[in-house]
Amino acid sequence: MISRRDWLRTTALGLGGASLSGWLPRLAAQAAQQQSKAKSCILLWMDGGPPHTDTFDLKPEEPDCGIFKPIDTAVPGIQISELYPQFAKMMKEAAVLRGMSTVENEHLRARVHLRTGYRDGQGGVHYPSIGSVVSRERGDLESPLPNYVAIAQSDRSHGPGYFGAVYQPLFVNDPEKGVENLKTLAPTAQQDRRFGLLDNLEQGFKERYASTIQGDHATVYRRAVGLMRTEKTKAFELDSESARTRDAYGRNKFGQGCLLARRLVEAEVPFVEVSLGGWDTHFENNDAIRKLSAQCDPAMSALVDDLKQRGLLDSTLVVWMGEFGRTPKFKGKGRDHYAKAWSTVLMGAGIKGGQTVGQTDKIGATVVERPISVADFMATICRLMQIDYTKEYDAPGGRPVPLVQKGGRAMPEILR
Amino acid sequence: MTRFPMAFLVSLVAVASLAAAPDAAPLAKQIDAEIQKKLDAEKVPAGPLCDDAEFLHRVYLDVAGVVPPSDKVREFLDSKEADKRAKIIDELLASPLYARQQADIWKELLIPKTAAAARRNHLPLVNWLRDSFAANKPIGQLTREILAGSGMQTDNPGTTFYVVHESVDQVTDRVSRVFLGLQLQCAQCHDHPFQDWKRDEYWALAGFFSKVGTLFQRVPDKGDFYGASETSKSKLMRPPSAREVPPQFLRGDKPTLAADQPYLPVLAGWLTSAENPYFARALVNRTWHHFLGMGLVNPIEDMSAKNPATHPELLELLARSYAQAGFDHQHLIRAICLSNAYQRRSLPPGASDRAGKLYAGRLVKIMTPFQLHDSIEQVLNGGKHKPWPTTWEDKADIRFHGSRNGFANFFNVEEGASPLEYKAGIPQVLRLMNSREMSRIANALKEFNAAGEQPAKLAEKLVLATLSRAPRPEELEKLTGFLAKNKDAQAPGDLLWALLNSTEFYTNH
Repeated sequence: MISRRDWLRTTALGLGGASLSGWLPRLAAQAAQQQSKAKSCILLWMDGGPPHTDTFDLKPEEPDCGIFKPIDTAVPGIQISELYPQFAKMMKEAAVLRGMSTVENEHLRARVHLRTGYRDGQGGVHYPSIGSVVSRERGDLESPLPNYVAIAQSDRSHGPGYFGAVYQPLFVNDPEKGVENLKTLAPTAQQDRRFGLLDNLEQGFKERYASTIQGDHATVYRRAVGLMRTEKTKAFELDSESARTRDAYGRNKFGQGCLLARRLVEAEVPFVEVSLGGWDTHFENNDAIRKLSAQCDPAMSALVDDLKQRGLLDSTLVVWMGEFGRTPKFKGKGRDHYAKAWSTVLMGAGIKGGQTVGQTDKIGATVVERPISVADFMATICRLMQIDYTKEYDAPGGRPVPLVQKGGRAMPEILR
Repeated sequence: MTRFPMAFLVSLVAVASLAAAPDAAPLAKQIDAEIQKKLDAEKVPAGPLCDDAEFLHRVYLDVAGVVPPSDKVREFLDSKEADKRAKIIDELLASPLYARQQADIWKELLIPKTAAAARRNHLPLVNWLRDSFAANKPIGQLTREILAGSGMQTDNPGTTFYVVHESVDQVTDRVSRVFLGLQLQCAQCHDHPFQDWKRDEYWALAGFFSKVGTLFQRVPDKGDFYGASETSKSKLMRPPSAREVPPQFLRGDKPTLAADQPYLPVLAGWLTSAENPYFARALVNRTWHHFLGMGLVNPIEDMSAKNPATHPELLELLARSYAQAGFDHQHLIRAICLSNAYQRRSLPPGASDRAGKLYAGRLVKIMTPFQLHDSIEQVLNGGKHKPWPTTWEDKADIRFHGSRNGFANFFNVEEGASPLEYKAGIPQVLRLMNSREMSRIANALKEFNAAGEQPAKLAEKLVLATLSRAPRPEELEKLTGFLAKNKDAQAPGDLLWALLNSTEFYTNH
């Protein structure tokens, strides 16, 4: 009798019944690696779930679906919300995915779902977030700068899951302050003396206790010291930008976070998340969306424009997304969570811009054309980042788990 | 025939708790019998018990929330009393430090980390929790006062629970997680994907909170005051996904409720009754997790039928004893701390995962953020116990509590993370290495080195204050050598810096 583990191994090698379908995406993924030049990914995370019918998938024929008017964009035939006038001018760079259709309607589960591509708790495994995946696949563990920076409030869904602590993000609370406590008053020789003593103590602990804690502790300290001692942390200093640039991004946490993201990408950090919270508009929608969009539109537009000016847009994938959309029709003055049909936006990384992918029905309630699952979405991000998404890692217990769950296919429409 | 003795036993215990603490040793023995059964079944040998220094360090952190002060370490190691371990457990349970740590734990459980909650005054709740744990108020009563209290925060601090929540679903989610050990939140919008909670079951439980609302009073010159009551007109919000379902106990009866009757006492009565299948299990599982680093069911807030316990009989034993003892929290803690399962030496390198899961030895845990803060403060105070202000009356008090909470939030990297996994990242580590807090090391040394100690003596003092043990011979030789070789003023500070940044300091082992 074949054991469960052997069975998984066998099918993973393509010897089981699923061999043919197992091969196809692998070959396709390899072909894609020659096309995309992406080195970094910036995730603009709209925490709480932005309403698609107020942003990128308006339903002007249906007065119940929202009060905001559509406007023309740089691409004939594509209209978006009047709240995004600056971004409308950049539509040639963007693909609006209007066919998002996912299955988690509750924040924490949906954050895990959208950041990892799996369902929370599925198979008893903690999955790595997309930031951890990109930092592992495209980052350099020896680089003095972190491979994954999150300008966000931390949350379990940001985590490295079974990848382990090495792939966790560096959280930056306030982009203006950058990384705090980076400077020390102790001269290098004194620091070295301290680390020598610390080494001794660590050795003693390691000899006595069974725990992964010591190893993780040592790794984080090593990386922190690397960061203290590199000139590259200048990337965190927003003061060196002109007032004009800083104004263009918007003088708020999200705007300055996007500017910091650009600086980090210039310094070759492979994954940066910038979060904008407050989209959970159950009780009052319209004013909140107006205020949030007034921060979001200039910041994301300045970011894409700036990356383009600097010749970095082709090597940077920018993703705009939340954990789900919101009910197309109002409930009172608010909108509820809605995962069945919603929108995300991809920019840069040499994608085919100036298009929409997928279509929702008259009221934005179901996807009638080209539904996009979370697995397809993750596979697309991986492929654009030149990551073989069929690659498998052993989760605790030795079970091989693919980076993107089986069945996910990168969207051919997006790739050049 | 079985009914009468059970009722008799319950009343006996209730009377006994008024007089003297019930003896926890028999329950500790039963715990060990259950642990041993499984070790035997899997043929895994149990490890030896820990030494006195390790025990003292452990029990101080777990019960009092701070590493032991230097004088306590010396006293405990020198003592020849046979029952010194049992005595220190009692001493710590009776100390204000126990009540403070429990208030820290429960505050985190009851107050959501939302911007709206941050704007409210938590102090009445925190002080009341502290006083409640100092008096060893039964947890059933505490829970009833949290859930079914009515009035202003200042008079009825338990009502803070509703003051810090915005909507009925937020309250329902938290009550299910904390008091029932269940994750129901997904059933808010749809039937639960992996478990069998139905959306109507969720809204039937939520139905009990449908009348609760907040109270507000503005008193000229004194400020704004809040409270909660079921007669308030400003009800908690209901999300659009809400369903109108009559209140019903989870998988239980549908009580007859008159429209003008308060619902919350009915819910709280069901919740905290000894017959409730969820309440006692949820609380003993959380408590076990605090002391042993793992729950008997994991994740601890997901105790559904589809997620079985590692030691089902032990869980039932603890839950039953807890309910029978009238939810006497100190009794439960005493029994756990007296057990061999708790007192085993930490597992050595190379031990199997299985040995840890069977409690053949202790697992290394990360300190909680509050434990880390309070332990650093104590070390920087020369290894001497530092009584914190218990009020927020003057500016210095407010500053102290503000910075303590700020520190804890900063180190609380991932809510609900396992204490067995290292979660600190670069920002946390940079703070431990380079922050202004750490620049107080120089002042602390004036305290440690007031007498101008010999290198060996100074090294011993510093190790004792940070790691709660005497230095090992080879270690002492190295550290003394370092101090003898480096005669500059910074050298002792560098040693203390290294001790405070070590894994051994940051962990409970």
